[in-house]
Parts: sequence; structure tokens; C-alpha cells
Amino acid sequence: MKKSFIIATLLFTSFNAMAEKIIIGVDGMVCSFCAQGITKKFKAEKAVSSVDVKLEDHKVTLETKSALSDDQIKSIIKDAGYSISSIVRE
Amino acid sequence: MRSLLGKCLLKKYLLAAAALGLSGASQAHPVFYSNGWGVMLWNSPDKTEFYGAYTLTHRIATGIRYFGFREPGEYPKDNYTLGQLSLLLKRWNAPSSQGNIYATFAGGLRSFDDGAKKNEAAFLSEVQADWEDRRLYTLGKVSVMKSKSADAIYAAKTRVGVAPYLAEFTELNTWMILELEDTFEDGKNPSLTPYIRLFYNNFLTELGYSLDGKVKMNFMTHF
Repeated sequence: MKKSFIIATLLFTSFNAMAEKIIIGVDGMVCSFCAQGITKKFKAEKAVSSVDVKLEDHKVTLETKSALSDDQIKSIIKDAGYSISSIVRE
Repeated sequence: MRSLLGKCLLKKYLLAAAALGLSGASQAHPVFYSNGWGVMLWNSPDKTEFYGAYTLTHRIATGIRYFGFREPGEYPKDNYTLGQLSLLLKRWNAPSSQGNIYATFAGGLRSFDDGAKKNEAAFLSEVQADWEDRRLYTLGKVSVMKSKSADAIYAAKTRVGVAPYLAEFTELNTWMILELEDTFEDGKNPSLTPYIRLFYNNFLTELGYSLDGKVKMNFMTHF
């Protein structure tokens, strides 16, 4: 029982360590087609559980279920044709 | 005559566009995001134009371009079907705006009927530039299309658009657009067309009515 509890706690802790909210500032993201392209690229990533684009703030908010590095994020945004101004992890 | 006049006017358009900083419609980009597909359709009483493309990288797209020229109310009798390569030459990404310059090269077949059905090689070249933020949008495009037996067709297009309100991409976006298009044909004046554009998620449609009385309908989607 004690062993199971410790394993469950460890699993829960490690899961939470990988799950993150990431707020990305994106330059050049001004229209619906821009937002759609970025959303599609992030949704194709296994690590990403949700994508929320706010054109008004020039921000993309990701909820992740596993690790997603800054380099991966930069590569995805570049592939979509845009530039990153900031990455904030919460 | 038309070619010479076209070349002179084309130079004026290019200079004017450069001076004003105008460029191609960002929301009608020939290059999308990597692995993205796009379909665009432009329709007016005398011309149908189609572009279907796949974007290899955010700088290169390949696709099919079709032009069908016709007399109003008839099926197109002068058709151009071309394989197209489009390049994003330069993009400026700013916090709240974006500017682009594109070049397009296309080659294929012109099929027409001048008493007998004929086919011949045809080529198209375009330069497009654009700048937009969430409230304003400008476009400038110049193109030349040539086939073996026809005079070169020169065309220039300038657009300015304004969004009366700001909306997120999951909401309905509306734009009011004014388009000036010139094909430099003898006796034909430039066409001025006000459009209303509706943009929702990845679907865009435009409805226009030119001052010379032509209804124009455009459609675009990316997926």
C-alpha cells in the first residue's frame, strides 16, 4: 500500500513537472490565416495538449503534457513563417 | 502597341508601389506555412482564376494555376493551365505588422479556339508585395503572361483594405477593400472595385461590384 502510494506520488509529480503553460510572443502574427497556421503546427506536436491564439496580444498560449524545448518552439514558429519575441513558462 | 504601353505603365506602377511601400495581399499569399495546402478562386464575368498549392517550406510553394478568359455569359475559350513555383523573397515580422515580397514563375499550356482548337506553351511571372497590420492592409502586384501566338498580357493590381473592427481568428473578421486593377488593354480603363471581405477561421470570401458593373466573387482557404 505504502509502496503504491509512493509510486503514484512520484508519477504525479513527474507528470506535473513536464506539463507546463507556455506563453509565446509571436511577431508578424496579424491575421486569421497566420493564427490558423501556427495552431495547426502546434497541434501536430504530441507534447502539446492545447493551443490558444490571441491576435490582439500577439501571443500563443500552449498547455503541454510533456517537455517542449525552446528550440522546438522556435523551429515550429519559424516553419510557420513567423518570429518569436518571447517565451514565458508558468 | 499594347505591350509597349503596358511596359511603360508597369514601370510607373512599380515605382508608385515602391514609393508607397505597397505590396501583395498578405491574406492572399501564394506561399503559406510549411506542409500547408491552400485553394484560391477568383471569379468575374470575363475571367475565372484558380490557384491550388502545397507549401514545402515557409519560403517555397508549388501549385497549379488556371486562368479562363471568356466573354460574359459564355464558357472560357482561352484557357491557361500552368505549373507554378512561388517564392517568399523577404518577410518582415514586426510585433503588430507583417510585410512580404513574393516572386512567382509558372509555365504550362494555353488552350484556345480561333476557329480551330489549338494548344501552345505559356508562361507567367509575377511580383507581389504586401504589408498589413490588424487594421490596415495593402497589396501591390504586377504580372506578365505570354504565350507563343498572343501578345503579352500585362496586369497590375493595387489594394487597400480597412478592418472596421478588430476580431480574433475564431470570430468573424470583416474588411472593406478597394481594388484598382489594370490590364493595359487598348480602350480599356482600369477597373475600380470595392469589396467586402469576410474571414472566419481558415475561410475567406470576398464579394465585389466594380464601378463598370461587374460582380466579382473570391474564395480562399488554407488547410
